[in-house]
Amino acid sequence: MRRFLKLLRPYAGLLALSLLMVIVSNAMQLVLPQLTADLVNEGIMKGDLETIKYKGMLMLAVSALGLVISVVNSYCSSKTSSGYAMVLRREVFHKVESLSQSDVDKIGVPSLITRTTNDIRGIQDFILSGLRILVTVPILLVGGLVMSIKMNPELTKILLIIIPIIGVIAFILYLFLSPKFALMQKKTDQLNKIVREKISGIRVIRAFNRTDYEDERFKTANLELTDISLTINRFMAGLLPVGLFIIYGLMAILLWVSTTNIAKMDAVTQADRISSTIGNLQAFIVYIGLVVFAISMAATIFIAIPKARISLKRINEVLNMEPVVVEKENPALIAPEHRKGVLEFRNVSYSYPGSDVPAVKNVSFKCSPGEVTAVIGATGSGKTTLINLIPRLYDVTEGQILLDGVDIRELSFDELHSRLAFIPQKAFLFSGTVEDNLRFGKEDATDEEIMRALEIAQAKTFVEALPEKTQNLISQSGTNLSGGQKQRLAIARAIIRGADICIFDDSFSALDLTTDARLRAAIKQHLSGANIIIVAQRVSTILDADRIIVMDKGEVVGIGTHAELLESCEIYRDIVRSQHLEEEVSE
Amino acid sequence: MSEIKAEERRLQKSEKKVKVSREKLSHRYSGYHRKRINQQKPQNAKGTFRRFVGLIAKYKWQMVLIAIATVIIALLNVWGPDILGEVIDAIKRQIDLKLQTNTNDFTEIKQLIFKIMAIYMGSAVLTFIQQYTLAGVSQQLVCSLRERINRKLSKLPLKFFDTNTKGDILSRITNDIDNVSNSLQSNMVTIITNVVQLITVFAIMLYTNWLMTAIIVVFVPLSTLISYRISRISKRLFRDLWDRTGELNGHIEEMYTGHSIVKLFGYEKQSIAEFDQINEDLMKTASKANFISGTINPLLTFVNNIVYVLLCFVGGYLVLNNRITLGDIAVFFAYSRMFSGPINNISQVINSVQSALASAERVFNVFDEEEEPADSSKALIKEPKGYVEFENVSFSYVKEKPLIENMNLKVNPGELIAIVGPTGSGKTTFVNLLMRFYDVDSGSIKIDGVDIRDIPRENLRSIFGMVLQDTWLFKGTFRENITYGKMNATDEEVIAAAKSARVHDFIMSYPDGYDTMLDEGGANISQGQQQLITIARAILADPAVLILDEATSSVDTRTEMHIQEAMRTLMKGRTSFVIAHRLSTIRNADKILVMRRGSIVEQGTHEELMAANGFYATLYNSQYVGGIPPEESE
Repeated sequence: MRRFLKLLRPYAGLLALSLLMVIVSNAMQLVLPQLTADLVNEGIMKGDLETIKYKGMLMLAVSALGLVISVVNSYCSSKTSSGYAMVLRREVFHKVESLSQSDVDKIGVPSLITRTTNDIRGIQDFILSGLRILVTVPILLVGGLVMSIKMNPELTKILLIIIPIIGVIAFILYLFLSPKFALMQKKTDQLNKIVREKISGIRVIRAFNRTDYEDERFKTANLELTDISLTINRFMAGLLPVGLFIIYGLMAILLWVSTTNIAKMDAVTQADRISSTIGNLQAFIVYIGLVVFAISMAATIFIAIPKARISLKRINEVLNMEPVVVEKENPALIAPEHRKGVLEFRNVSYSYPGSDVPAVKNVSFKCSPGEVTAVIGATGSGKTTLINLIPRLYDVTEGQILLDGVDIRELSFDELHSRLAFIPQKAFLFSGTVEDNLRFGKEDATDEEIMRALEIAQAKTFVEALPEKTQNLISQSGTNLSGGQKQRLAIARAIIRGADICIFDDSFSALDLTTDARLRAAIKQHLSGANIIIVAQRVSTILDADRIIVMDKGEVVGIGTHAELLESCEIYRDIVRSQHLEEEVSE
Repeated sequence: MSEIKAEERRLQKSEKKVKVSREKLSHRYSGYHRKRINQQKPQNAKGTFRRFVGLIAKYKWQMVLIAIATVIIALLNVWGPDILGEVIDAIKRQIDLKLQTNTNDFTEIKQLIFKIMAIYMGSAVLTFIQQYTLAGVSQQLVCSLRERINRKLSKLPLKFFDTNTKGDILSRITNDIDNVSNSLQSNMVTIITNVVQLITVFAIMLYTNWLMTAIIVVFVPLSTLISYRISRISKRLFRDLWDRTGELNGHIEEMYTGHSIVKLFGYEKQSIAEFDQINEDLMKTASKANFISGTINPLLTFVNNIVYVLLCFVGGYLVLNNRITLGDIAVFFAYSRMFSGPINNISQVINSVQSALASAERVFNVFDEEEEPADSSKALIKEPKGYVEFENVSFSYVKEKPLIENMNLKVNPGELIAIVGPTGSGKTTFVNLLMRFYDVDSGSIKIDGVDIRDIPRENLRSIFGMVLQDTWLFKGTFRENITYGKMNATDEEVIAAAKSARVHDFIMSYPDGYDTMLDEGGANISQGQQQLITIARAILADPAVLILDEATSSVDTRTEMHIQEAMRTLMKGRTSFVIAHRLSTIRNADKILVMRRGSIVEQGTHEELMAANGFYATLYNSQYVGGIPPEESE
């Protein structure tokens, strides 16, 4: 909690001012009925036009002041709430940017997005309305009571009895309704899930003739949701009349009590009090209105507080995270003349957090510029994990990885990443033009460099066929491109960096054979000086690699050229056999 | 302490060295904001409204009840203050009586209080009836709309799902329908109440005192002008706010989703600078928009207070001249508030009605989508043999771009047919046609000699077993996911199928075995494992014709080899269609169809095609011998 208060500090002045304004404007709301009462009692009742004029001007002055105060308050509170939201968002976003991939995986991207957007918006709304209500309620409640006691202590007794009753009712309601609301949320989620599955699985559902089954599933979920929301809504339908009943009942009692009071009073000695009955009564009705209003506002805040607390908790969870992969404080520098691009794994092991079984176990190898190193193995054998260790998406749990003889953990992120061109399995593009996406790889790339990268990545033809060529917008995560096109742009984005080490994580999977082959040829031709590491599925594509690393269950079971491995590695032979390559190979 | 320092350092480091242009950001994330503007207004408001009325006609008695209740409530609410005024007048008379004679007679007041209580209690009871009925109607309406849209989705051709985004369809079922019902639940009552109130209040005020009425009426245009002017400014600001919010959400979504890319390319600084820019712009717009819209109410309150004081002046003067009673003034004070309220309320409701109509329109648009042609039941295939025949089949997704033209093919039971070709050559289309996800434009497809359009879809699809490139698993246990193709399967059958698909051991490695829950989309297991589960599903379904569309693309080749063995047993006696990237997997096919730009350019066995030295041979060599094939246009 302290953290959130600390972040509020820049806005403390504005917030205090805003709260002060709320207090003043509430006080004025309390004064106005008094003025009205005076206006009626002393002016109209006594037929004193001067008093009417005087009190009327006073009332106008007060409400003009009220206007100014409300406007100032609106300014302060909107500035505070949106400013605070900005600060919170900045904190969360900056935090997430500092996290490592495994931290992000822990919470999950969708949840992180909701935390940065919806949760913070919730808090913003809470500050905008909640704080005002929190301040207003006690003032109106206490002030309304004090004013009415001052005016008529006997009548106030009625209020004092009614308020706790309303409070108890509100509390019972809260207890009753909040689990119902939670249940409704659950049912809504369930219905949405069924629809989502239906839309994404439409082919499978139809292929297996399960449309009726899915419809039935939807129907049940729909009815369940309708049931619970009907219960809630019907219940809420009762709330308003009950509230009205209480207010009106109260008013009737007041009218009756104040009338009978007249009978008790002496006409001569208490003439003043008798004649002020009407003005008082009118003011009193206004005060009751204020008190009831305060109570109903308190009820809304009762619902809002737990929600805001959950949001704060979720945000706090993010802010409390510490990145697992941290940059060294005084990073080592590799002198330019030593920047060769030699990469070495020394007894590297890695286990995912919470898992006892290492995903990568005791891997050692060394690869140099001008060489092609291929990694091959079964699904889940640790290929991707292995290469994800190079850019420090995860940090090794044992052993070390050396770049030009320096442990990569000693290097600054900038230095390490500038040496790598990494193409992940799943191409991910950002919104923006084709050019924007390429510049993502190298900010100051020239137009020639961009065209060259597109050409090597076999993307030039289709980019030039786009209506606006390199200035064409790529929409949200590249939905307007095919999988293969996205992959090629991702490759171009990496190639343009001109890095020493190129890492391809099975990055050709969405390409058809033709493009695949042309791309490989282009890479061989243009990136001959780089240290290339390729995760591959097909042996045919890595036949002439300088080094093939065969992985199985996280361990390296063979390293060597194709010919060597055919001799020595049983699993490799299995893979080759599985791809029906034996004859071709022996040819 | 050191944590804070580190944090500060990080913040300092990310100080804006990087320049970010607002226009560029707007352009880049334009996809995230334009949509909202289009969504706020209906295209055809009148027609949509009429249809909506038709929809609630089903509940016409309830609606009539609600309307009557609402009108009575509004009238009672208007009447109440009038009686209150009478009470006050009566009290005033008693006061005078008391002061003059020191006696009291409360019978009149008693009666009036009972009257006023009766009015308000009546209003409370009617409010309950109104709200209760309304809740029922709107929830039932939502329920039936959802049910209807869902049933409609089941009948829509695949084309609808291929051309609309998932999020869009989903939001129609959830957000749009909710929007419609919320609007029905609150706006209708608001409109009726306020219109009735406005008219009756005006009539009563006019009847009570025309001069004071005139004062109130004179100020109406002023209030309207104020709220109109301000809301016009704030509307524009809120539109900007939506745009900035869209940009911010877009940026957050992309940077988080592409987190590893951001890291790898050292893009954090740029990303943070962009974020800070959008964030700050958003803050500025938000604070302005909230401020401006927050001034409407204080201004209107002020105007009301002016009116109030003026009424006091005039009222006081009139009372002094005995032109009106004190009670009348009390009535007027109450009415002056009841008069300005409805005008503001109605103008606010109009916006929300508009957005509800836009939502309704989007829902109706789904209802209007053309459905799949109705099932024919001319023929039923009870024991499928597996003859498949394409006769002069032509097909295209878009009329201007013919895809498959004049395709002919004859397949005998038990044959293995492989389909190869570059991306976009029509391989998946082949499956779409075979399963009747899409209908052919001309020509016909026959199974066992029967045109597939003459068979009920359910019958047709039960003949096929299908494993697609996109695995589809739902939230449920392994068992539920596997038995999707055959619900009444026994445990032994499930295990046998899982064993054939080489996924039994994997499943058993979980403590709960077959009862282990899978996440939505099977997100908690690897892609390869997901694929194996769907293969097990197809094996269990035991179909006459198998379709494998890149089924093993995300499984490594060794696992694939094991599956292939299982597949070979499975394929025995069944007609099988295999679509594959890897040519090695299909060399033993009885027939290989080589597709290129929508048509079959070559067909034959592997040996025949290699000998022919055509397109297939080029493809094959490029894959295995390292030659460069000709470039294929997109």
